[in-house]
Amino acid sequence: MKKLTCIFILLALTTMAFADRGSCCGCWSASGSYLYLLPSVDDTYFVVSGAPGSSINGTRENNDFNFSSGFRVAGAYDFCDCARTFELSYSRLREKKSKRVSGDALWATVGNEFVARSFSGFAGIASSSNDLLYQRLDALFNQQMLSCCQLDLSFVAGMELAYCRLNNAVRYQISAASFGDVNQHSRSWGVGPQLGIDGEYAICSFSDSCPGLVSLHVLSSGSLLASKIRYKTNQFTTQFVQGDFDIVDEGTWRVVPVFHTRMGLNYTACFPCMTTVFEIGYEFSVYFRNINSIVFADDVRSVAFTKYTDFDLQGLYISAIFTF
Amino acid sequence: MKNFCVVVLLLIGTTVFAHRQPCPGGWAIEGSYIYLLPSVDDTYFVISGPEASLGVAGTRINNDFGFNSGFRVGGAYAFCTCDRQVQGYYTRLRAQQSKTISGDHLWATGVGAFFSIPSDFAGVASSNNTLLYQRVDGFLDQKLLCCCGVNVSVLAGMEYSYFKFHQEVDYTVTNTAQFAAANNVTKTWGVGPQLGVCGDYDICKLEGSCPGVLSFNIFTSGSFLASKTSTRIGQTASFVDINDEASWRLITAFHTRLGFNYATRFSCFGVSLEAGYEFNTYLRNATKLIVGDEDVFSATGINYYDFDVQGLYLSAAFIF
Repeated sequence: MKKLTCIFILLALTTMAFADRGSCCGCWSASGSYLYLLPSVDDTYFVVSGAPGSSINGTRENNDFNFSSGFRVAGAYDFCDCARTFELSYSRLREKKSKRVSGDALWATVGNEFVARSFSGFAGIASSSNDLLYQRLDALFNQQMLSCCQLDLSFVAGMELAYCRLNNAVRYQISAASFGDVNQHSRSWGVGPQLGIDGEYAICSFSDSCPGLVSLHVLSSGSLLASKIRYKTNQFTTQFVQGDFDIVDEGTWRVVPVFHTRMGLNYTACFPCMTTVFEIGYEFSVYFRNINSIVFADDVRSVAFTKYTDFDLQGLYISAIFTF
Repeated sequence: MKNFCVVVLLLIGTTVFAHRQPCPGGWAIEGSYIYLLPSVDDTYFVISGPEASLGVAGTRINNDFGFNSGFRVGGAYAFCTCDRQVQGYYTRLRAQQSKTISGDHLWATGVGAFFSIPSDFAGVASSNNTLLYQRVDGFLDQKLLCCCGVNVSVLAGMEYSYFKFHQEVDYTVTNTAQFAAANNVTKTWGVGPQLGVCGDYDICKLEGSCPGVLSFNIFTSGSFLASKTSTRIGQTASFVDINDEASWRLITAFHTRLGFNYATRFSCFGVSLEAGYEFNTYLRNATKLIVGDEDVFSATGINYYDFDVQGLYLSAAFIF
């Protein structure tokens, strides 16, 4: 109920700032978007579930995320000359996902070799919990380059700040006194330039009871983020305590490439005192090798290498805009 | 002497990306001092723990690079028609980074899975990384937009890049003859098409004793490089010395830089100064051979790692 109220307020109060159908000289606009996104992080598998036997024969279970709700709010100002707009937007998505598998033949796939040996073909329960927080701040200048034949095309340039945190907790349990825990925490934040293209094509206009304009809107941009990545992990088992670990990585700087694209249909209606725009569409974002983890190579406990995985987002957005 | 060369380059160069570009039929030359932070994934080499532990507990130490000096030189020629230029650049960065850790509870994480040293040892772990990065760019620059103080151009051309990374790790156990050493060398060169956009925006015009134009510049490009990669791993303790046959791959690279530019003009030439920050990334450009098992030495796999470069640049220019 709380979420729905927030979404309604956002929709009611705000304006879709990316859509220039609602822009005008010296005007301010505010926008709010309800996001229904599917985040995905590579390799969230945690157990093989199969039939009892000497060989591993079964399904590798994946605790991947589902679609979840988030929001984006934005404010924009249209300059009076040169068809130029400045926009500031903030996006946030939080998703928790848990999965529990019980069976007579389970094989652990997370942790080092000591976990794999301790929990090999066991009867019991395997559970995984993933907790993701994604936040993003964009500051973009939009400069119109082309406006003809119902097509508006703009060049977009600015900055992006992104934060991503992923906590992963896995438990393998044979009994109350016999279990193993593996926890991983990865965090990255980055800032860097963002460049893109914003285009809008007017499909048709209505002039009857509800006059307005329907158009197709596409926004595509890319960023290179100077990112600081941190990671820590620990493992505890009741079977082989000498195989446990508690490791904190020194932080490291990397450049993370990012791409964003959204496309949607918007409807612009002009009222006496304001312009209102509604937009619905689908968006895609990908952060290349943004999240890291340790992979243990062998029963030599410390020997490990770092694995880098992508972080992706895709899903629906619904936006509403008021231009004053 | 090295610093002197950099200063000379700064004095003789021209910021070709500055919006004060050569007039039709004119030439420009550029020199840039670059102060960049290269990063190659996974340069961790040891876990250092504060106290004895049944398992492994501590901080995984990273011998990542610091900022290093390099340079870029370039030139441009503006054609007499169609707001079109041809540009060429050469960039070079060499970096070296060493780190030594001593402690009573160290765990080697090095290049392979087997070492002739105990898991939890008292001693010294050291890592030495060296890197060489070279790049040649050739562009055709075509102006697309010029209005309201904004200039936007599209760039099309070629990129050639060369990357060599050498990682050495050494582990010595105190008061014993036990030691282990390993090294990994990866080399990649590639060539391919590059496309990009550059733009500048006039912020203000300065009057008085030093008249000129202050502008904000931005440049971005992407390349697909047909690349040849070779990898070698050696470990003294286990007598492993493996040389990979080189392989061809397609590597994606992105470059972006943004900065402030000041351009002025004297009687017979123009001068432009620029300071900014740049970002470069080569996806899965570096390779590392992973020996996955202590008993089966031939059970190996390859990890592919990104190579990134980011940092400051200072450019100076003469436009004729």
